[in-house]
Amino acid sequence: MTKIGFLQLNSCSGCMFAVLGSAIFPELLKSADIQVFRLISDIQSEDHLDVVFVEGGVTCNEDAELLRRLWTEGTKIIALGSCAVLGGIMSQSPNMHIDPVNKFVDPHSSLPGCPPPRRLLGNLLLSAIDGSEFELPEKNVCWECPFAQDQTYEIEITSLHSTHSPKSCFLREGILCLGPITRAGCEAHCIKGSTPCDGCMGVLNGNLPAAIANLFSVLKVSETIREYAELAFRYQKPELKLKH
Amino acid sequence: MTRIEGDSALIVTREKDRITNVIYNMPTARDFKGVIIGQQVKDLPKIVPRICGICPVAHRIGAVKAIESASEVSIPPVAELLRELALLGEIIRSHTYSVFFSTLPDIMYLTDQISRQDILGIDRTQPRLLPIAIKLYNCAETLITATAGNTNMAFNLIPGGLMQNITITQQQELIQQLHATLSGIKWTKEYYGWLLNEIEGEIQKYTLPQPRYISCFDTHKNRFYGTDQIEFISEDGSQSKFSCAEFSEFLVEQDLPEAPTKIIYAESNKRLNNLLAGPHARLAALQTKSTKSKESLRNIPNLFYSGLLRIDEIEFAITNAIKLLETEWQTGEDVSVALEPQISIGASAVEAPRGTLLYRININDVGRIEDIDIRVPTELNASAITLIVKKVMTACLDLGWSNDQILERAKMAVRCFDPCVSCATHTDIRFRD
Repeated sequence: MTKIGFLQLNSCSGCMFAVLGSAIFPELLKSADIQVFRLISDIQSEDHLDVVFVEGGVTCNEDAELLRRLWTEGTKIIALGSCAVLGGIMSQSPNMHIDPVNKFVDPHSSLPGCPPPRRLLGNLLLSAIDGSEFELPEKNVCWECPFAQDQTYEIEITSLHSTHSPKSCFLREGILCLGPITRAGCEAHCIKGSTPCDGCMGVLNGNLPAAIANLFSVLKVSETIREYAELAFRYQKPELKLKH
Repeated sequence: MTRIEGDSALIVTREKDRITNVIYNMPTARDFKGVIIGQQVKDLPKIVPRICGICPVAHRIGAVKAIESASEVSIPPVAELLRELALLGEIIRSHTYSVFFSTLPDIMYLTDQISRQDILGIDRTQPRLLPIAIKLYNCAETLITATAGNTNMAFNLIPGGLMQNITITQQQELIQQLHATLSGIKWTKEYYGWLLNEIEGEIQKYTLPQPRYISCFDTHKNRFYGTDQIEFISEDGSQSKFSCAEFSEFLVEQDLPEAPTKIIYAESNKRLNNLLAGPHARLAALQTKSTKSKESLRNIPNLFYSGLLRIDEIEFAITNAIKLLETEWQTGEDVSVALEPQISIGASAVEAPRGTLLYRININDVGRIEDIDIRVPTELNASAITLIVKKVMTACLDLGWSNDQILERAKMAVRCFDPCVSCATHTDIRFRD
């Protein structure tokens, strides 16, 4: 049996509760040897794990050291959720520092999302049981969006918030949506629920400032909504990657 | 601590035959206040659900109600109804976790039913329970997703009402799915009651002396959505009420030693203040209105009956959700009112699964959050947690038990409160130093 662990760092436990709600969870309980999962079990052995799912961002040396030790021992580290993959919403804190898992170790795979999309989470958990490869989609949210055929960059963006069910692409209605630069996999769940994408799956090439710059270079953004940084960088710090 | 939400620890000081001090430590700081201050008001409901992965709907509702209070708008009845349904889904999901994954393993362990104290141990002994838990959990997530948009962000619940109504197809499917869970929860209730009878002597240690209850449960409409009046039932049974806008005057915060969280005391008596929020308090509030529930009054305030009360609330949530969907829900697209935040102060109260959740916001002249005060139920329960742990450990010590045995019982006592550490550590870390 594969020895599996579920670790919680600085987080809300939302990704772990998504695991409990996954269709594959009952199978996981019986087909894997769960060595650590604080939310549901007293057994806490972090030694000799084959796979560890990590939820939350890193805020202290102890967590960073634990990740490095597991990685050195050959444990496959899987970053789960926007906090572990991108830093998450706590990245906006002016008072504390939070880092994603990949700042300290090279994860075997990553699944962002707040929460991680149900279908992809099921595939990821399955990969831990049967050793199959897990891959993220290499397309953007528009690829899954029912309104993508109406997309245009010609309309002036005048709002950061929607107040009604969209009849067409949010960008056509003058509402900012990060779908064009955000990785697919969520099946455009928020957009189908009348809420524009705020980028919880992260950007496709990993370079958020560049993706934001590209998007805003083609959008016509109204003078009235210049303060869009909270939306653009909700899940990730705008760290510039400069080449020397 | 294991089998609770979040990262916490009990730090106990024992001097010979006395437990001299208990600290319920929650060491991980989560600076939500720092993240929120300065944000646009309309972004507040998008941020606060991330405080907690098990009660995001309650946080979202707390935020939108506070914004609506600041803007002095009333939402359409169907919007309030769908918000209540989303909360009922959250009650089912959270209590299912607490009962099946947290407290049932303890009670089955005490009755020698299992050797491994977790859901796997339960499944090996009583295989009927895990499928019931999974069915309830999935049904709850379907209810939350249909009414609130999704399980973690609840994006359908917006200031002014809702983004969209549910459809007749969704209504029918929800009713069908809710009906399908009823037999399982009724069976669990009987089984849980039987287990409690088996350990009647053991659970006497877990009676909380003279608790004071706090609740905003709407006892007229029977809704967790809550009222603006907070009900306070003191140790002598007398009742008083205060407006949620005034909560900072009645509920005093004090830093918890060595932790980025706080204990909340009722202002009347700070020294010995075992305030209790959650299922016990909601039942107490209901019992002050009715003579029908006197039978179960004897269960209060024994903490080991919390699990049974949670099962009661799951059953109530299922039957009430069916009733609301069948008789009160209406079709239509008139689900919100226009709202434009302006300089003002807003406050709200809502019953989260663990108890009363309070919000107070200050909005500045450019429509941004100037200040925010969020009081969560685990902070309300914090003084009672330390008090009961000390009482249980002292009783076990008197019986001559080993340290390991005593600590195990102390952890069981904490789990009875179903503490939510993510909620309790949301506080502003700037005040820590």
